Amino acid sequence: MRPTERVIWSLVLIVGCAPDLRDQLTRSNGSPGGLEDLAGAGTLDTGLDLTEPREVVVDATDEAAWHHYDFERVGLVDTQLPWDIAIQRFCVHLNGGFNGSGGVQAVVLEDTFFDEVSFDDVPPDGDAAWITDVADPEDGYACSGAVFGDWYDYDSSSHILTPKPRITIVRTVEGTPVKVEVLDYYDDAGTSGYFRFLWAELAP
Amino acid sequence: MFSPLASLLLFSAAPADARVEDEEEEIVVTATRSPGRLEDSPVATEVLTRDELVASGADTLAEVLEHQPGLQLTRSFRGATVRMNGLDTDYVLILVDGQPVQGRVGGGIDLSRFPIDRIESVEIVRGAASALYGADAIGGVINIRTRRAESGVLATARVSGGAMAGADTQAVLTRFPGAIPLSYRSGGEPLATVDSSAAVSVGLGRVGSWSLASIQSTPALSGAGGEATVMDGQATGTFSERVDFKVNDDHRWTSQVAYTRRRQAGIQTSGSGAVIDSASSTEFVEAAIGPDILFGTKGRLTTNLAWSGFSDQAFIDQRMGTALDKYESTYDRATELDVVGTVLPTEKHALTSGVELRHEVLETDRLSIPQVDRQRASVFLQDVWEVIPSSGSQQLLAVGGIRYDRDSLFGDAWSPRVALRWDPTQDLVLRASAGRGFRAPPFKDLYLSFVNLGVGYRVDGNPELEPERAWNESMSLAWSPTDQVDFDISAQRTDLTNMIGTTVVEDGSSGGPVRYSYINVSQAWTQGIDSAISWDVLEQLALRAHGSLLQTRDVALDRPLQGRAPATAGVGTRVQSPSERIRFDADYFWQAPLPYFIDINGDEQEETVEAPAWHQIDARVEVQASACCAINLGAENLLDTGDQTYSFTRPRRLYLGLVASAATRGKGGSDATN
Repeated sequence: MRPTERVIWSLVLIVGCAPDLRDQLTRSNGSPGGLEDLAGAGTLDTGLDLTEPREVVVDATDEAAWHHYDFERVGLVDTQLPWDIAIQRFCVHLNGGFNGSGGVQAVVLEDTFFDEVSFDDVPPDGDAAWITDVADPEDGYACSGAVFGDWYDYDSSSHILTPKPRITIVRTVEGTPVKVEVLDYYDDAGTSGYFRFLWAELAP
Repeated sequence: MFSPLASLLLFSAAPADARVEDEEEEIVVTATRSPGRLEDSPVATEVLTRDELVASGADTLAEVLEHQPGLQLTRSFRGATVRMNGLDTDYVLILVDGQPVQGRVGGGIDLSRFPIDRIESVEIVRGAASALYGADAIGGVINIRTRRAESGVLATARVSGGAMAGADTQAVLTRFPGAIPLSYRSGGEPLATVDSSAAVSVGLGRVGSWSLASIQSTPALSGAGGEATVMDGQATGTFSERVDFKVNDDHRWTSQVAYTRRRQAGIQTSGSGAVIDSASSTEFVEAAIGPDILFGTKGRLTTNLAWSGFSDQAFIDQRMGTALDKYESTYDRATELDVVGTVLPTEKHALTSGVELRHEVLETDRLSIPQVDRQRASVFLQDVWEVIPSSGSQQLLAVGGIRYDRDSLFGDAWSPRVALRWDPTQDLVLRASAGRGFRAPPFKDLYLSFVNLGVGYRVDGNPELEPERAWNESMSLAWSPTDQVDFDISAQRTDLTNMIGTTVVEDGSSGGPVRYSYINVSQAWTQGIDSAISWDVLEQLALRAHGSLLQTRDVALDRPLQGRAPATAGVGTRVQSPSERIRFDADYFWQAPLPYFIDINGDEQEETVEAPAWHQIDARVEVQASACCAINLGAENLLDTGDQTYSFTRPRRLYLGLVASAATRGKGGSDATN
């Protein structure tokens, strides 16, 4: 064989397509764990002490689905029941104002801690401090009209959402005041859309 | 001495063995798309010769360009790309033997994929060159000229330690000279033969990743354990061959094929706490063939048919989860036919004209449609006019050129350029040029479909995008007061308009994610001064120094473009023994703090942060132990300084290399067939 032909044939042998990476590597698929099972709730009288702080994780990873939470029922409910807050990804709606008919209102307390908020911080009915969701202003960002519209700080370089140091008092459909702190948006594996919050009823 | 215009033809069909070896007779092609002597070039061209590439101690083109005045290397997981005159890598055209390179990842061509052993020389022409090269030649053009066949066998091996420990055996170059029968008569007699020579290069390399801590390397390619990595570990295999056929003194053919396969693996962490094992497999194929025909002293015609392909697979695996898992594949290929002719209609004019036809196809799952393609037809015409002939003490050359591109996706683009070169005395050259450049909207901006569920936004391409436009002006002065001293200074300004930026097209109030797309909206400018001086103090001692100043501005945001160094400087020296068997090179580089704009306190306003100033010392010694063998020892970033937060700088790396040649090596020289 002539040298040039040798070169060409050796080239043909070498230039195969690289193997498909999916055939060569296996994925790690383990669950991060630590997620509460929120199914099964539904009765109004759970017999539970609602003033005990509860940490809740809602799997809100789906791009389109809304997950409705009711504080008195201590769990996710369907929209037939009087839900209090609804969560989709990082968006949180109240069942009041623009986003619901349940009359839910809220008060935002900045730069405070969960344990420091008590029944004394709950404004009287009709107080101007109570607010609820309004339509998104035209600033181009979804959920910006909601009371929980800016629960996070956004890092534009890492695209990470970090909760602001604030407590929100929510008055539920049934009129129960509860304090809510958003804790995290990521599970232990770092996946976004796992909305984690802490809440407790405020009683005199 | 030949006239500058005649030199366009004189070297074109010179036999390979008669290559010009004097450095002052360096042949360049990039500035005018026609070979000519570097010293006659009407447009300023920087050339990195084979000797300089070797002496730099670099293994790939990326490290060589890192310290060139006016260039800035940026590194990421997917490789190293270059900025030119403060303009992003998207605005820099990378050529291999005059052909555009396929496979832009994140806008840029990864320069670490070109091993030094494949490169004969690198030509850098700064400023807009769309009048000759069309799309993307706004910041400038970098033309990689591949090595020709050399006599004998050359092998190099190198091991390195430090943060990126690795080993590579980069090249074996062989020449097969001889006559090849073109066809046979029935009796087995050759009908005609051509002289040929072939260069074959094979390389294998493996480099460890460098960790965020920049202290210890992580196990490359293991995909488990280890620290987060800044640059992925990689294993690379390369094969290239180039065959030159000489039919007769006026008629030559060149063909070449190059194949590179690279596997990379590393570990990334995100601010959310996710740990991600990433792996990628990338292949590049480049093939070209074409004749170079000289018509006496009247003209020449070069034809080139080229095909290039780029295939990339990226595999992302989130530990303990699947939400961030991703597999993406991209297959990009282009076929191009170029016909370029040069004629000398009178003694004072050299006309170069060409036609290019290009077809490009992209298949990827990141686009809104699985496959997109584009066709482009281009014609260009350039006149080099010798206004004042070089016979006297003065010389004046004027260049005028214009190019028209018609693209199936974005329509028309006209790109004119004028340039002047004036030699008022024998040792002084003044140059000035003004030209228009454009950047074709890339497939990504036209057809991308990307969803980031984490924060609820999506980005969609805009098929209506127009090309980005630029005006570039430059001036330069080259002064050689003595044979031992060379001084260069140049100034550049580029005004970019119609730049592609993002805009909100759906605000998310309907409950869906915010949707962004691209529009031609932004404007920016860059301007800078670069200077360099070299001084051969003694036969055994040479000194060099360079410095650059750069200003940039994003007009809409009224602030500098981020990540650009406003000032850089460097000094270096070479000391060699009288016999030239021992050679020592050392260089010091400094880079001013780099501005970045990042929202660091969460107030949704971007604050200015600075990557700290950077000092680097590189040193290298090479000993020619015997006629066959040389050994070299070097250190890169000896002080182990740099910034791993914003601008990734490579940590300290030590290497030991061996070079063995089994027969005489041809001295590195250029040839005019590219």
